[in-house]
Amino acid sequence: MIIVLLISFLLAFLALFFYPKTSGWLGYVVAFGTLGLFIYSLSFVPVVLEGEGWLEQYNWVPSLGVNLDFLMDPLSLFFLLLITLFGFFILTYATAYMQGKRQANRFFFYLILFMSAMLGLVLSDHILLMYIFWELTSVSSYFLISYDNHKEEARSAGLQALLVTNLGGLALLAGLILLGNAVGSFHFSEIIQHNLVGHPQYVAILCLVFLGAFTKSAQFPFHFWLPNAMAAPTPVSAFLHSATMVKAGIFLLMRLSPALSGSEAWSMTLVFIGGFTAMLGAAMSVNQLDMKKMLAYITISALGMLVCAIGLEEPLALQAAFLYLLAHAIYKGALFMTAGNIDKIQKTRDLRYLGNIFRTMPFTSAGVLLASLAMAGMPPFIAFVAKEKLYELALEQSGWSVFALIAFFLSSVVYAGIAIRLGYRLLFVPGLKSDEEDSAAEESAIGAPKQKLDVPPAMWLPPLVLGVIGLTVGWFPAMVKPFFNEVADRMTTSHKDLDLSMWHGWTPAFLLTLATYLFGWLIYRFRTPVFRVLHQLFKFDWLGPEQLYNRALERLDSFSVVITRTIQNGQLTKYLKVIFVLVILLLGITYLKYDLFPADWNFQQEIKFRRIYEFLPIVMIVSGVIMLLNESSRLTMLVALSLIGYGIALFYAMFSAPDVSMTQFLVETITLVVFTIILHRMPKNAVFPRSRRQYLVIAIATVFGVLMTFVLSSLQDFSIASDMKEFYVSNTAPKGKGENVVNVMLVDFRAFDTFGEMAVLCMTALGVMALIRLKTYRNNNL
Amino acid sequence: MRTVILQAAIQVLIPIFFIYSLYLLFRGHDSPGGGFIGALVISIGLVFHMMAFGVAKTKEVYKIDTIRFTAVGLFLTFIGATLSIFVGDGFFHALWTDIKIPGVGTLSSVMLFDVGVYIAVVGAVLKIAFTIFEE
Repeated sequence: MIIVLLISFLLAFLALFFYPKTSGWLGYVVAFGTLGLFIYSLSFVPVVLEGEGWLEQYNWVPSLGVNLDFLMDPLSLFFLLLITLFGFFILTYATAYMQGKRQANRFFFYLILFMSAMLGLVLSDHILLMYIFWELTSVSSYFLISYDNHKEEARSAGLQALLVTNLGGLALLAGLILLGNAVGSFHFSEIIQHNLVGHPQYVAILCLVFLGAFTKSAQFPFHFWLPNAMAAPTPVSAFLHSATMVKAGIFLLMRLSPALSGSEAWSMTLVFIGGFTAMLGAAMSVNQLDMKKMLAYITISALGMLVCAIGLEEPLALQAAFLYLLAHAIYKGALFMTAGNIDKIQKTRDLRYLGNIFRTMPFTSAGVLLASLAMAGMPPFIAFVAKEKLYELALEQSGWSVFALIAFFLSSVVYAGIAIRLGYRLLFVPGLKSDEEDSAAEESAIGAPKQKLDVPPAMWLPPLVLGVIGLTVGWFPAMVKPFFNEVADRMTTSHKDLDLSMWHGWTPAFLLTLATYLFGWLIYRFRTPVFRVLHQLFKFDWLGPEQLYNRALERLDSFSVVITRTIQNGQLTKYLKVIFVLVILLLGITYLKYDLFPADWNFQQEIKFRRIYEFLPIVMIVSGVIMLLNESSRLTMLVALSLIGYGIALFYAMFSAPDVSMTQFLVETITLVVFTIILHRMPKNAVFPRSRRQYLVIAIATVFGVLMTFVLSSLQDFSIASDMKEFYVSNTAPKGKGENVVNVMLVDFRAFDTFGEMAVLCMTALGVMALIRLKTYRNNNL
Repeated sequence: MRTVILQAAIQVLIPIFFIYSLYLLFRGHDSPGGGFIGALVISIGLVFHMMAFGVAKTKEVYKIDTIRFTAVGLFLTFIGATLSIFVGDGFFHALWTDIKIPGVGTLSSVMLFDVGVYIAVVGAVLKIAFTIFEE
C-alpha cells in the first residue's frame, strides 16, 4: 500500500527535475505511471470485496506509538481508484495543456504532490497522519491556484483558499485529537467501531470536524473560495476542484459517520447546510458568464447535495451519496476539461461570446455533449441512476428532512437548465459577436469558412472517454454494484441491496426526474426573467461571507500595521532595548518575588588562577569593553566587539569545551568579516551621536550583565540532579560510535533538533535574500 | 577590498581552507570538529575570496549556486534521517555500515547527516554574505 504512495511522490520529483529536459513528453510518462497505479489498485478489488480490508504499519517513532499506519477498506479503495484514474486523465490532459508554458515542471510537481497527498489522506489509518496529508493537500492547492503568480487575482485566490481551508484544518486537528481521546485510539480502524453519540464531548467534536469538512468541501458559509480558485489553470480545476480535493471533506464525513452519526445534531446540520449550499450554489451558477465559474458553483451545489445525503440517516443514504460522488466526478471533470479546451482555442470563456462550438471543435463538443447529458441526469448515464437514487432517498423522508427533497429537486432543475445551455446552446447556437470580432470578420476574406481548429487529442480524449465511462457504467451497473454494496456494508449497520438497474417502473422518483427535465427546460426557455430575478437577489452579496472575509483581512492588516509601528520602528537599538528591558523586568521581578538573591553578596566560587595566562581572556574582554566605550570610529568598535568575542572563546577553550570554543571563534570571525563588508558600504562620515541615550544604553547593558551573572551563579546552587550527563557520556561511544560527546549529540542523539535548526537556517538565508533584494528592487525602481 | 595582496593570498589559501574544513568535518565524530565547524571554515575562506574578487567571479570559479547548496544540504539531512525507515526501524535511527575509509571514518547515515549539515550551512552563510555584498 505504501508503495503506491511512494511511487506517487517519486513521480512528482521525477517531473520536477526532468520535465524541462524532455520538452513535455515526460508528462505522458507520469500519466501512464499513474495509470499503472490505478491498475495495481484494481488488483486489490477482489480481496476488499471479500470483506478483507487490511492494515499496514511502518515504524516511525515506535517508542511514542506514532507510526505510519495505512488502512485499506472499501472506502479507501474506492477513493484510491478514483484518484488514480482521474490522475491519469488529468495528467494526460495537462501535458498537452501545459505545452510551452514556463516552469511547467513546477506545475507537474505540485499537481502530482497534491495527488500523492490525496492518496495518503484516503489511505491513512492514523487520524493525525491523515491530518498531515489533509494540510498537504491545502498547501499544494495553494501553489497550484496561484501558479500564474504574476496575476494578482491568482495570488489572492490562492491565499483565500489556503486561509479558509487552513482555518477548517486547525479546527479539524482539535476535533480529531478530542475524538482520539474520547475513543481511546487514534486509528480509524478502531474509531469506526465506536459510536460517540451522548459522549460529553460529542458536540465539540462534531462542530470541529464539521468545520474541517465544510471548509474543505466548500459548504456555506465557507463556499466562496471555490469560484475564486478558478484562477488556477484548468487541469487544476478539473482535478482538485471537482474530483478530488473538495471531495476530501465528504470522504471525512463518510469515514467518521459510524462514529458520529445517529444524532439529530449530525443529521440536521448536514441536511440543512448541505441542502442550503446545494440550492445556493445552483442559484449562483445561473448568472455566471465565465464557464469555469459556472461549473464551480455547480460543484458547490453538488457537494451540498452529497453532504445533505450523508446527513439523511438511511441505509440507502451512503450508497446514493457514493454513486452520485462518482457520477459527479465523471461529468464535472469532463466539463472542466472541455472548458479548458474551449478557452485555449477561442481565447475566451465568456459564455455570451461563445457559440457554435460544434462546428469548430467537434471532438471537444462530443465531450461537452456527453457530460451535459450526464449532468442533466439523462439515462443511460450513471448520473441518471445516481439522481434517481437520491430522489428515492429524499422521497422516503418525512418531517424536516423533506428539506432534502426540495434541495435536490431545485438543484437538479438548475443542472438540467445549465445542461441545455452547455449541451445545446453552446454547441449549436452562434454566440454574440464581440466588437473586435465583427470588424475582424469584415477585414478577413469574405466567405471564408470558419476553420475547424480543435485541440490536440490528448486534450479532447480524456473528457470524451470520461463521458463514455459515465455511459458504460450506467449501462452495466454490475461492474460497480458489488463495490458499493460492500462500501455501504462497512459504513452502516444495515444496507439495502442496491438496485442499480435503469428502469424501475413509474416510481415517484422517476416522475420527479421527468419533472426535473421539464422544469429545467422551462428555466432555460424563460431564462431572461430568471436572470433578472436572481440578479436582484444577489445584489445582497455585501452581506455575504466573502465580503466578511475581505473585510476581516483588511482589518487584520491595518491592525498589524499599527502594532508593528509601535513595537518595531525599524531601529535595531530599540528592538534590543525592548528585549533586554523585558528580560530584566521578568527575571528581576521573579528573583525579588521568590527572594532568590543571595543573602550575602560575596561570591560562592573562588576564582583561582592556576596559570598566569588564564588571566588573558579577562584582559582581552575588559580592554575590549573599554575600547568600545571610547568609540572613535565604527571600525574600532567592531574590532573591540570581536576582541570580546575571542576572549570568550578563549575562556571556553580553557574550560575544556573545545567544540563550543571553535564554533565561537569561527562565528566571531564570520560576523566580523560580514560586518566589515557592511561598514564598507555605509556612508563614510556618519558619526555616532553621544547623547543621553548612550548612558541609558550603558545602564541597561550593565544591569542585564549583572543580573545574568546572578542568575548563572545561583543556578549552580539549584542544580537539578539528572542522569543526562551520565547517559550521554556513557552512551556516546557504544551507541553513537564516536568519542566526541558534543558532536554525537548534535548529529545523532539530538539530530531532530539539528534538523529543525538546519531548516530554520535555510529559511533565514532565504528571508535575508528576499528582504535585501526587495529593498534593492524598490530602490532601483523608484 | 580588492587588493592585490588579498587576491594573491586567497587563491593559495582556499585549498588549504577547504582541506582543513573537510578534515574538521570528518574528524568531528571522535574529536572536536563536525559539520557546522567545517562549514564555517570554508565559508570564511570563500567570503574572503568574494571580498577580493567580487561575487560573480567567486560564484563562477567555484560553481556555487547558494540556493542549490542549501536545498541539497537540507535534502541530504532529510535522507540521513529517513533512511532507516526503509529497514523498518523508525525514523532518525542511525544506520551503520562496516566500511571504514581511512581518514574519513565509518560510513553511516549519521555521516550523511553531518555532510548535509555542512553543505546546508555553507549554502546559507554564503547566500547571506553574497546578498549583502551584492547589495
